[in-house]
Amino acid sequence: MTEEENGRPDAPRHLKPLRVRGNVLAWSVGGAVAAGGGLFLLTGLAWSPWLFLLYPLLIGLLLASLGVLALHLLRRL
Amino acid sequence: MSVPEPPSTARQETDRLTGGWESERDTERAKVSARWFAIAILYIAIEWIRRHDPKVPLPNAVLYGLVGAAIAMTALEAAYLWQPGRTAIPRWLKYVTVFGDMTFISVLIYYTGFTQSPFFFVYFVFLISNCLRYGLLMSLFVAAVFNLLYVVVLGLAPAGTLQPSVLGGEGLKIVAFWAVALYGGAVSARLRRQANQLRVYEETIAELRAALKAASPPAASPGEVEP
Repeated sequence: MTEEENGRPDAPRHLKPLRVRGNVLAWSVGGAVAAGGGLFLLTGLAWSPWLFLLYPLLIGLLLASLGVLALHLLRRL
Repeated sequence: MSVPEPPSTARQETDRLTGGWESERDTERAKVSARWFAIAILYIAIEWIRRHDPKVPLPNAVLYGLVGAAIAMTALEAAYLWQPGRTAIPRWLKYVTVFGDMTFISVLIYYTGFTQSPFFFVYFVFLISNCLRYGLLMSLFVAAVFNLLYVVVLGLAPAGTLQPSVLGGEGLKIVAFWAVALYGGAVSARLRRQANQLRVYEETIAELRAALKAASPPAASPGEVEP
C-alpha cells in the first residue's frame, strides 16, 4: 500500500498517516501541561476558595491527557 | 399437574457459597450500624472541644439540630433497610446517603474553625471506608462531593477567619484528598476484581463437585457383599 493510499479515510486504523498521531501527541501533551500548570497555579496562588471548584475539571483533564498519551506511546512501541 | 423440580445439588451448594457474599443491602445495613457509633463518638468529641476550646463558636441550637438530623436520617434509613422482605435496594441510595453524611461533616467543619477544624480528618475516614466498600466510582464521587462542599464551606467563611493550617494551603489539602481517592479507588477496584474472581472459582468448584457426585455410582452399603 502506497503512502497516498494510507492517507485515505477508509484506510485501516493502524495505517493512518502519522500526522493524525502527531496531533494526538500534541493535544495530549498540551492538555497534560495545561492541566498540570493550572493545578500548580491554583494550589500555589489560591486567589479565591471558589476557584478550587475547577479542580475536578483540571484533574479530569490531566488524567485524560495522560491516559491518551500513554495509549499513544504504547501503540507506537 | 407439573411438580416443580427440587433445586439441584450444584445449585444448593452454589447458593450456600454465594449467600455469604455481602449484597448492597447488607453493606448499607453495616453502614447504618457504623453510623450510630460515629454519631455518638462525634457528639462526645464536639462536646469535649466546646468545653476545652472557647474559640469554637458552635451554638447549642446548631449542635442539637445537627445531631437530631443525623439521628433522624439514620433512623429513617434503618427503618427502610430492615423492612421485612427488603432484599434489594436502588443503586442510587448509597450515593444519597453518602452525600447526606458529607453534608453533616461539612456543616460541622463550618462551625468548628473552617480550615483549622479537627473534624477535617473525618473526611478521610469517610473516604477510605466508602472506597473500600464500593470501589473506584464511589471514591471519585466522594472526592467530587468533598471538593464541592469544602469549597462552599471555605467560600462562606467570614473574611479574615481563614487561617492556614499545619497541613499547608487549602488547595494542597484538596489535591491530596483527590490523590488518596484516586489511588485508594484503584487499589479497591483491583481487590474487588480479585474477590469476584475468587467467587467465580468457588462456584465452579462447587458445580464440578456436584456434577462428580451425580455421575459417580452410589456406594455399596456395608451389609451388602458382592458376589
